[in-house]
Amino acid sequence: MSELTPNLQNERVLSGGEVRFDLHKESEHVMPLNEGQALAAARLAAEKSQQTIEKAPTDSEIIAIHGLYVLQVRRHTAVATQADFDLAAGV
Amino acid sequence: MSILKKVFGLITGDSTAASFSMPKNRPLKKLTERELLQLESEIGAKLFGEVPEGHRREFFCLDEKTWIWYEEWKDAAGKRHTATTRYEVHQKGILKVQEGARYSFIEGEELKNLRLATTMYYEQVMRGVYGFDPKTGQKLHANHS
Repeated sequence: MSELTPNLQNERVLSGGEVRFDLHKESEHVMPLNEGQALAAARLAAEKSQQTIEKAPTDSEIIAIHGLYVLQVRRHTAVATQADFDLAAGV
Repeated sequence: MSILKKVFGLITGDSTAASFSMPKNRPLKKLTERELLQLESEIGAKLFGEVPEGHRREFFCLDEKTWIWYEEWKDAAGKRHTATTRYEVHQKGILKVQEGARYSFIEGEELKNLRLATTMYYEQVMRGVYGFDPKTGQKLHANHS
């Protein structure tokens, strides 16, 4: 005859010597999900991940960022150029 | 003087700027900002394939919020025509500004085409003028100059 035996690792000794099953630890046990629960869990996970994925940039944003990049590199290069001229001229 | 030259002149203070051409084996470090803009413009002009005979085309990034498209051609009677279109980056989108006070936010195929053009411009200018890999931002090792 099989009996449910307490998992001693999940028992806590309370004051007065009373022993109580630790529900917190028990809740950490992985329980198999039925199909409905699995679907619900998958849906929830998908929703959570969707919230963290950044939206793709729009055409306007791509155009803006290309202009910004080009300008930054152009100005950076030109500043370096001016510095070279200054150096050569002994400024 | 063409409108493009005027634009260059306004930007650079040099009315002869439009005649600038890319020297072979140029030392990049010796180019000024206005010269870099002109080199970019040379690449921009070639982004859209063959320019029809008698036409002149320019496309360049004027500043971080403005792209310029310039077209110049002669009609059958030999009369010269020019068209300058300015694309401005605004919060609401890309505003197309043409002569005759015509303004409109572009959308659909036109917006997609402009996006493709600026992407090509960015990629080719980064490689061809500045010697950077546009994807990684790393300096190219090859003899790009």
